[in-house]
Amino acid sequence: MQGLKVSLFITCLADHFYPEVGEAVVHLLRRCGCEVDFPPNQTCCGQPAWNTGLEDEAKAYARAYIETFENSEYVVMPSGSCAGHVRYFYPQMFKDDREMYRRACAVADKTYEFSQFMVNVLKVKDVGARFPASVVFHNNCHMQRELGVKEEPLELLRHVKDLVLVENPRYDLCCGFGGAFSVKMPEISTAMADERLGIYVGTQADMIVSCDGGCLMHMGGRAERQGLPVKTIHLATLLWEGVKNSGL
Amino acid sequence: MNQQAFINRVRSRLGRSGADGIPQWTPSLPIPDAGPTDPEALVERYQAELAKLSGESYRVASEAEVAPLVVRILKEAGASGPVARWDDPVLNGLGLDEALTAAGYPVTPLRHGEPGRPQVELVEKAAAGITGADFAIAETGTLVMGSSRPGDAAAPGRGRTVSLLPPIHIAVVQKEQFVYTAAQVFRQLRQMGVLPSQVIFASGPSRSADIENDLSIGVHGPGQVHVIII
Amino acid sequence: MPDLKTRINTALRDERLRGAVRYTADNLRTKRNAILADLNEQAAQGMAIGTFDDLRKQARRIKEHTLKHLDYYLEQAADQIRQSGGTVHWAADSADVVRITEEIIERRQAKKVIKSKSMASEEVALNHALEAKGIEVVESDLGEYIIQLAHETPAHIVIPAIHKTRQQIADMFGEVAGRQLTTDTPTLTRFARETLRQKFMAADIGISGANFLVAETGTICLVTNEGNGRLTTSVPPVHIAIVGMDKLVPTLEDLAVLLGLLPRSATGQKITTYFNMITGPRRPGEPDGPEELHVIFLDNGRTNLLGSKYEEALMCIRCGACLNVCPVYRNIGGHAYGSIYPGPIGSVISPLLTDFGEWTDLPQATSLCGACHEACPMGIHLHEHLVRLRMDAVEKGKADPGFTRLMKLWMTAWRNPTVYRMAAKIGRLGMRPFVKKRPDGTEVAERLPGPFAAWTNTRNVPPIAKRTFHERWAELEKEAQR
Repeated sequence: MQGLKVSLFITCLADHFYPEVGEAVVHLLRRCGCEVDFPPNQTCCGQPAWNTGLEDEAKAYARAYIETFENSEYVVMPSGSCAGHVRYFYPQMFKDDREMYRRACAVADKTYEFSQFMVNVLKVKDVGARFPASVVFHNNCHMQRELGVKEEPLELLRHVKDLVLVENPRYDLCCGFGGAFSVKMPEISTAMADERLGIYVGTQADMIVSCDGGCLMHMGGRAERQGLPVKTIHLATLLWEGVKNSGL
Repeated sequence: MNQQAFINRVRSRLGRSGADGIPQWTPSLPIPDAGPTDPEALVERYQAELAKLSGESYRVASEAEVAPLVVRILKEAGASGPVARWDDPVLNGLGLDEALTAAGYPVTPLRHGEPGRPQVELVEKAAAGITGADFAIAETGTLVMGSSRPGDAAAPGRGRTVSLLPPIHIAVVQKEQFVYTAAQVFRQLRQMGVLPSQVIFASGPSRSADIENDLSIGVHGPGQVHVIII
Repeated sequence: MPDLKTRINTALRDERLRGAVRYTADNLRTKRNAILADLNEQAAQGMAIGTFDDLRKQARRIKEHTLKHLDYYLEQAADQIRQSGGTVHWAADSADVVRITEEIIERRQAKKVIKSKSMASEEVALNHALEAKGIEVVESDLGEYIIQLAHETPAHIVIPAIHKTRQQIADMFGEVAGRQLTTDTPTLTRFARETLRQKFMAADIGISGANFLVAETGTICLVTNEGNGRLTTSVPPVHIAIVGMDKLVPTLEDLAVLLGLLPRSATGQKITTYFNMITGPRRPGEPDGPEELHVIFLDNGRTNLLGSKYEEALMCIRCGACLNVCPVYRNIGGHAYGSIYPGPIGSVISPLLTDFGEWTDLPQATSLCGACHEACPMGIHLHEHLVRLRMDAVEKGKADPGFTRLMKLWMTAWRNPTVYRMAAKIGRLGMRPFVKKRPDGTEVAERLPGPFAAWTNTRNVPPIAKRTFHERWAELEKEAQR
């Protein structure tokens, strides 16, 4: 598919901590013929407010997102968690407001997580990347459950040359990030990270790949603190590095 | 709290001040008539399921073979002492009492109309309990036994404890009594009228995994289950 | 009781408990997955009444309908129980259950009570109340017996004593026996069987719960493996069943669906060893069975959920599947929750049953991963209820005030795009003193002050980028135009 107009929602975590992920997404979408715009007044999807019980604040963020993106053709973001929040919870928030509910549903329908968009809309599984490493894919909880996206990232990874994709023995098990949970309940959050990382280290993969900045920050930060032999990387970053590597 | 106050609280939470008439409800199943209907297929499946649960089953060609088989089972299990049984037409014509007494196992049939502790205490001392069944469920290796005949509460001496208290339970069932699913049993029970005070679905010997997740057999109920199929 | 954080930290330090909980949860989860895959295969061949999803859908219909007409079905059940010779009692709360039970004990001059596993009875702290009056109360479920001897509460809904080693069990049994016992399972089992058998035979009253109660016949249904449920309800001359009002189903046929789901979800069994259906006390002429049957319908806060946005949580069939997949539960076990009902379902119903009392903070102990909803045979949206409970706590002023104030301030300000972009610059500057260079030149922060220390106490964190994506966009836009 050529010439699709895509608005990028960078997500607050990628914006602040992993801007290279945003760059990778832009480059990869452009390579597929998309025109990418970036509405400058975007902030956060509001999930932190929702999850900490601040319903009114969460709805305010939802309204802002809806207003910003409802005239876009497609909205793509490098986060399964944020995309899940928009698609699954925005309509729910406005159940009692007919007009907002309609607008929320409309924008949710055109909101996609990056790998979901690549595989299901652009119909691209092979971006032409080469990345020699063994990797295991970490399924972000909201992505696999609220968004229902499981296979798409794996499809993209399977087509990367020289990449060994190792099976994830407990793909259902949460890493323990959980947003505010990671600082509100840091002891359990860290214990969960340790169990999750233990499983990944056990697979002997070099890298943990994920579509979510929160999981990566949490697992990456803990792995480094514990001196574990595993690195973390965002799927988009891996693919873009892989494209650059392939000499094309 | 009395009934009216309890119900009123429920109604007020449901946003109603009074009753709402008789609700319309039809139970339904996605696949209501699952499984085979042929008795041979049912028996075969039943035996396989029971074996998985560490129960034993035996096929006999006629009623005459039952009593000697029961004696054999008891001897092989090393049982000694009295044996309790249902006082029920399905067992009464099998010549069990003579065969068992002759083999050194005095018999105590439960009797209709003599309820109470002495009855239970007799059964408690028995080395084995022999019953019939109302149904056998092939899908799960289950015997269904009413404490009296379903639909006929005045029927004579079955009770609850014969299949429960002794360490060995022996059941005698006819192959025509086999069905495939529990759903079929519930459907039939529903049509049978008044239910016995207890209907028990029993699938193999009693078990527990409470000690370090390790399987224990024969915790409170019988540790051995033998099913004789005619 | 120490606060939630303290309870959690205690549990996190107990490596043996965590190992046992994880082992049990994984064991049950694996079995559940296998039996459901088998069910789906069988259903595809017409050899089972439905797939897991089919049964889940029908089970929801059954419970939704029942709850909508709960007044009717309660009255129908009560009539049927009375017609079959039983007595019906109505308990608004724990005190009612205790009072009703004590009245029966008094009238029967009873001294000894034996119980089969009943979460409802633990919910109302019945044992404690009866023991205070000098009544002997014995738990007959093997796991419950073990924790009774240990004077502890259950660590798991289905397998209460998972945290006990066989040595500990042998020691406790040995004390009762007056001699040392070997630790092998058959010996311990035989001891429990013989000891508890005597208790069954001597008991004046047997107390059980109920897994289901069929309204059209007034039938109490019990799902057990050991046989203690049968003994408790058959041998003593009086049987008291404590039945949560959410246990009702309309007809016998509806049992097929629920019986298809409960054992599979709980322990990965197609059916439990015993499924006991009790309708009234012994019929005149039946040779054994209790003379008296009492059914105590229990509210104790369940009506708080009825008619509310949380009503769905009343569909719970207490299978424990949510516990077995919960990444939090497997790390802290049941005791840390403090409430009788632990794990995801416990974190939802405990605050609601007790009107946002001492369990208000349980919904904090979740990463909202949604595995519970996925595993639940009734499809209860536990993960959503947990968020809603957090919202209710904030609304009621029962959430952590400091944290809530901070979040509110931040989230309100941050929505403004100018503030949002400025905050990045301020944050970047603020982090600078804490940022170090790795050997490869990249940067990391290992210690942050104030509330952020909660992160850096155990994890590193990347610094806010030298240029955020917002700040890089102009360049990216130009690239496209070249």
